[in-house]
Amino acid sequence: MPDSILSQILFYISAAFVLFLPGYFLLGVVFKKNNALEPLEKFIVSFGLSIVSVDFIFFLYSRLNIPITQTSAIVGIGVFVLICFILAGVSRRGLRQAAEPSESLSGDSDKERRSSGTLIRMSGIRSAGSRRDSGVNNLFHFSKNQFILILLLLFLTVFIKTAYLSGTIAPTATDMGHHMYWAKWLAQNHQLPTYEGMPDFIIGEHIIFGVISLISGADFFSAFPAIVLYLINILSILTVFILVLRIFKNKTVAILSLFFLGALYAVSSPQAKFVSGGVIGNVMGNYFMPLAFYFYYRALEFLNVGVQFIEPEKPKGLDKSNPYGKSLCDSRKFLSLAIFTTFGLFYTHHLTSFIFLFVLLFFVPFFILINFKNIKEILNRARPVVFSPAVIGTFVLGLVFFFFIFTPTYVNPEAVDTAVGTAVKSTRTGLTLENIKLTVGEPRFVLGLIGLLFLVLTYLYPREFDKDRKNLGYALIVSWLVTLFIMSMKPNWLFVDIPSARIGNYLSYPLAILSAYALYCTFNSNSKLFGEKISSRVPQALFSGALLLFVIFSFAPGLDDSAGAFKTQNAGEETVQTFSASKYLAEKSSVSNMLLKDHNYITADSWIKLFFMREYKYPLSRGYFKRYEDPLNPREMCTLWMIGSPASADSQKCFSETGVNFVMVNPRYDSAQFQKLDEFDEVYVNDEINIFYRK
Amino acid sequence: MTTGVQQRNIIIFVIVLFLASSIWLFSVAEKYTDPDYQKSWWAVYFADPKGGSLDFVIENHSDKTDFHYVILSGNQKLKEDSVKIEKGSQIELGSTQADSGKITIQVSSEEEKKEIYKNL
Repeated sequence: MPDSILSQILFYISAAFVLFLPGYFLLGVVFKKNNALEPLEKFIVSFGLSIVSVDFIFFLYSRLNIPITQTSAIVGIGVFVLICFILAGVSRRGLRQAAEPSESLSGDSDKERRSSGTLIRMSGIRSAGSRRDSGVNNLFHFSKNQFILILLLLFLTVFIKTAYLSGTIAPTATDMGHHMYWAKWLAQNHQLPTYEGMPDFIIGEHIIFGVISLISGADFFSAFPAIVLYLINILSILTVFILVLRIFKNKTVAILSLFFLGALYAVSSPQAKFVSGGVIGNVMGNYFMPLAFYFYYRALEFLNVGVQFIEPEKPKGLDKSNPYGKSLCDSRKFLSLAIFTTFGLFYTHHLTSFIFLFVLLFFVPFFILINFKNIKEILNRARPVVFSPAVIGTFVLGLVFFFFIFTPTYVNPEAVDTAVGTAVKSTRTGLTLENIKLTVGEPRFVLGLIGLLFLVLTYLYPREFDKDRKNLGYALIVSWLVTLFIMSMKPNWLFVDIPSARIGNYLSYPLAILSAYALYCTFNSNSKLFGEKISSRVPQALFSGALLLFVIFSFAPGLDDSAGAFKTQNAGEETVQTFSASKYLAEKSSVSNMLLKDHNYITADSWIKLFFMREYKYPLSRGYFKRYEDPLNPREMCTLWMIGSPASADSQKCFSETGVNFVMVNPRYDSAQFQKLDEFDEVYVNDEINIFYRK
Repeated sequence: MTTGVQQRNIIIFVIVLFLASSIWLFSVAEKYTDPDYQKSWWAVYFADPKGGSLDFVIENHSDKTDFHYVILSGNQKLKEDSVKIEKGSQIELGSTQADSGKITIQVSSEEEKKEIYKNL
C-alpha cells in the first residue's frame, strides 16, 4: 500500500479517535439511553465535546508531568473512552433494574418508557427529544423536499469550500505556520507548550493538532491541519442548523440558515478563507460559541414563559419516572455540558471568549427585562437547575482546571490591558455600516437586519407576530447580533480595544440566522400582515416573483463572492523552493547560528521555523514595512536595517547584537545589497531564495 | 423514511462528503509540496556554507538535464565542466582548492544561470 494512502487511513482513524469518540462516549454517560438528543445532534456535538475532553485529559497530563507520547496519548484517550463506556453500561443496567418493578405494574414496555423524552411542551410542540415525535411533528423529521434540499445545500457548501481549498490547501498561510510550530513543538517535546510567555497563543488551538500528529504520524507539511479546521468549519455550520431548529422550532428557518451560512459566502471570512489561512482560534471559536449557546438553550429552554412547566406536588429528586425530575435532570445535564463547552472555549480562543462573555452580559439583563413580570417564576424554575451538584460541580472543576491545573497564557493583566480600554488606533475604533456590509455580504446584511426588525416587532406588536416574543432563544439571537454590532461599530462604548474587523467577522453567524428568519417570515404564506395572512392580501404571482427575486438577490452576490476568491494554483513552485532552502539551512547550521529571513517577499516564510524548531522567534523576521512605521507601536528596527542596508552602521551594530550570520531573502528584491559586501558569502541560490552567510 | 433513517442518512452523507473532499485535498497538497510535480526549478549551494570547502551541490527539479559549471577565482577560471543531472536528482561536485580571494561558482543550464561564491 502506498505510504500516502496508509498515512491518510491513519489520519482518519486518529481523527475519529481524538475528535469524535471521547465526546460520543461522554454523551453516553451523561444521557445514557435518554433521547434528549437526536442522532444528528449527537453526531454534531460529539466533536466539540471530544475536543474539550481531550484538552482536559492533556491538562491533567501536564499537571502530573506525564509525557505526551504516542502511547500515552492513545492510553489517555482510550482510558477516558473506556471509563465512559463502562459508566454508561453501569448506569443503563441500574436504570433497567430500577424500572423493572414499575414496568411490571404499569405494563409499559421498555421501548415506550425509553421513548419518553423531556416533557417540556412549548406552544403545543412537544420537545423533539421524544421518540413519540417521530411523526410529522418531530423537528428532525423532514419532508422529502426538505431532506433533498438539506443534502443539496450540504453538497453545495462542501463543493464550494473544496474547490476553493484546492488552490489554497498547501502549507503556506502565515497564521497556520505559526500555529503549527506550537503543535509540532508539543509533539516533539512531549509536553504542552508555555508559549515563551506570549499571550497570543492558546493551548486549545494546538492540542488536537499535536495529538493527531503524534498518534497518526501525520506530517505538519501535509493538508492535515487545514483538513481538521475544515471539518470544524463544517461542524460550526451544522451546529447553527440544530441551534436554529431548536430555537425557532421551524425546519424551514433551519434549512435557510444552512443556505445563508453554508452555501452562500462559503469562502469569505470566517469560512474557507479562515480555514486555509489557519485562523484556528476563530474557526474553533465559531464552532464552540454556537455549541455553547445550543447547550445553554437546551438547558434553560424551560424558562420560556410559553412552556408549561410541570410542577411536582412534591419534587422527588431526580426520579426519572417523575416528569419534573426528568426535565430537571436533562436541564442540569445540558447546563453542565454548556459550562464544560464554555471552559473549552476559554481554553481555545480569547477573542471568541471575550465576545461570548459580552453576549451573555447583554443577554441576561435583556431576557430579564422582557420577562420582568414573570421574573419570580423564572428564578424559581432556574434555581433547582443552576444550584445542583452536577452544574456546580462542573463549574468548580472548570475553575480548578483554569486557575490551578493549567491556566491559559492570556490570563494576565498585560494581556487584558491590550484588549480592554479606550481604542485609539483607527483599526480599532469601529467599523462603518458599509464595512460590515462588505464583511458579511449585502444579502445577509440586509436580510439579517430585516430579521432583527421582525424580532423587535414581536416585542412591540406581539399579537401581529409571533406569540413567543419572550422566548429565550430569540433573546439569545438578538443579544448575539446586537452585542456584535456594538462591539464592532462602537467598541469604545464597551471599552473594547481589539481590531474591529476581527469582531466584524463574527457577525456573519447571527446575521445568517436572522436572514433565514427574515426570508421565512416574509415569504411564509401563513405569515400575517396587519391581521390577515399575507397570502390573502398579495396576489400569488407577485408573491412568487418577489420570492424569486429575493433568492436571486441572495444567491448572486453570495456565489459571486466565492467565485471571486478563487486563487489560481501556481503548483507550489515558490513554496517548495522556500522549503528546500530551509531544509538545507536547518541541516547545515547549528544552534549558535542566527538566521534572519524576510516576510515581505518570501512565500510560506512562517513555515521556515518548523524546519528548525529552535524557538518560536527563530528565525528573526523582517516584517511588513508598514509595521516599522506604526507610531503607536514602535518596534525594533534591526530586522529592517539588516536586510535593507546591511552595510550601514546601524546594521553592523544590529548584526553584532543579534548574532545574525545567515540571511534568507528573495533574489529579485534583496540580493544586490549583500552581493556588494565582502563580508557576505552567497551560499545557496534557487529561483526564489538566496542565502547569505556573514563571516 | 423515518426520522432515524433520515438523520442517519444525513450523517452518512456528511461523512462521505467530507471523506471525498479531504481525500481530494490531501492529494492536491501532496502534489503541491512535491518538489518535482509540475515544477521546474534548480538550485546550487555549497555543501558546507560556513567552512572553507568549495564543494557544491547542483539539485535539479527541472526538465533540463545538462548543466555546465565554471569555478572562478576572481576573474581567473579554475575549473570548467559539464554534468548531466536527471530531474529529482542532485550531484555534489568539488575537489577544487583555493586559499584566498573571491571564489565564484557559476552554473548554467540552457539560458538560465546561477552563481554562488565565497570570500576566502
